[in-house]
Amino acid sequence: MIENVLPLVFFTLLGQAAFGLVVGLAVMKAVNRPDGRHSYLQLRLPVTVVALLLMIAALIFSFFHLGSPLKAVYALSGWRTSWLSREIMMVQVFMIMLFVWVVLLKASFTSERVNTIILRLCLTAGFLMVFTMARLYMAPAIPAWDSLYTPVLFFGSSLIAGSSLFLTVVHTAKRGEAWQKEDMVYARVMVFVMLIAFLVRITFDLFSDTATADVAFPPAPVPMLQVAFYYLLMVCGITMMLLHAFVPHKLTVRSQRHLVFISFCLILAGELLGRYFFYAGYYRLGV
Amino acid sequence: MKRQLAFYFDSTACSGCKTCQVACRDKHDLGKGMMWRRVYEVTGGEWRKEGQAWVPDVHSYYISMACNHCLDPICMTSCPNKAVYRNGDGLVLIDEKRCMGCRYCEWTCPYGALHYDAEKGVMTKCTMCADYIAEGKPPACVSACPMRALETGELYEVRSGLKEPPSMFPLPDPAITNPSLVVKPHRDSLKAEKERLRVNNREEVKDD
Repeated sequence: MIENVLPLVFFTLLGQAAFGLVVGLAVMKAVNRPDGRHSYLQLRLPVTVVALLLMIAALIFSFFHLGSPLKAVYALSGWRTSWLSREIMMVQVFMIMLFVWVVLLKASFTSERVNTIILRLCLTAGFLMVFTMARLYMAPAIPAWDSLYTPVLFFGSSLIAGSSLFLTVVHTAKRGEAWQKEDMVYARVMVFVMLIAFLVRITFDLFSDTATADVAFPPAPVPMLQVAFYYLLMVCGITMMLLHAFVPHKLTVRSQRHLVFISFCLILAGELLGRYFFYAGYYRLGV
Repeated sequence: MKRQLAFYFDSTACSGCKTCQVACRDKHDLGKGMMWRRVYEVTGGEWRKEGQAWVPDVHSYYISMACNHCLDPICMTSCPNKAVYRNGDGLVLIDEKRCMGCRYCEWTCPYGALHYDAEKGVMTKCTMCADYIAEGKPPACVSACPMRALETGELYEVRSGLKEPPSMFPLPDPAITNPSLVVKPHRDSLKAEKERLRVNNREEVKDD
């Protein structure tokens, strides 16, 4: 187990959730009809503001992990060889893109072409941020992380935590307004993506190989009860999201909002626990 | 040819007295949890049936380990701040003025060579007593060893006659970092199965 892990848990999860929000916007834009992108136009500002706030919070958390935070000014100098340096660079690029978009939206900049370009740039920067985040953990001396499992986990968190947060933000921003038919389409797409991401993660959980030859200090196994609790949280959260997306007619708008909010809380708790397990599983080859 | 200093460790001679460990801590005045040189006690074994009798088949040896000033130092390439550098003697050192204490190098080094100094908020590691080297003296650990199990020298000299890089439990695959280290393996490390061996003094040598 590595020390002082909580800032990293929050930094990685918040960053990935922020990328998930941008993915949500892209899905929303794609499924909304071209003639009436009401929800997309109405909701992209609150969603980008939340994404930017998440990134700022993530950055603040990351400083708590550092022994000498002021020396982080040198953190880009190793970009040629260090994935950590590249990750820090992409975090900054993603934040700048989000900031520019928020400013443009706040200033009621109406050119759809420019907005679409910025959405694509945000998507690319966010993808590269999560990729570099995953890649830096894939060090050759750390067998538990040096596999496809790490990007699956990180991109999965983007899709799972990001989608659930996205639907929560949408519900909050709509302030009790009933969802249109086309709103339910992107809600269903996102919940479906969330489900697929979770199933892929389970598959990797089941088949991940943690060979411990050449390891002086193998990790202590995570207690089964904690693992069961993690799965319970995630399954309950995703099931509630499925209920919200596929049987909304049986629920009032108010109960839909509550359902999404509770489901988001369960998923967030599950993701935090899952990320803690990820760091707890650290061990390295050799001594 | 560039100068590259290296450690030589004779596991057959090491008695596990840990004088090297103490000498290192004393020389560098290292604080709690910082052990630039550590002695690992490796043990293992079982009962084996020989004819009608059960006989003990046990193994025990020591490994004294510090930074190996690798030829492909993963700590150096992974450092985002370029705070890890190599000097003219081939020693891998840390520039404390640039280190932000992210501890990424500590995760990635398979020799556990990097240690976090909580007071300064930076990483620290074995310097092979660069000041002594500059004066033409051996490092503190080498001169303290009563069994002459530790030596330093130019890598090509230390490696002479030994083509194989170190490969014994619990050392990692040398291909990961290409360490400037030559180990004369203990006979028990050669005959024992890796799965049956373990480091017996975890509490002493592990930071956590």
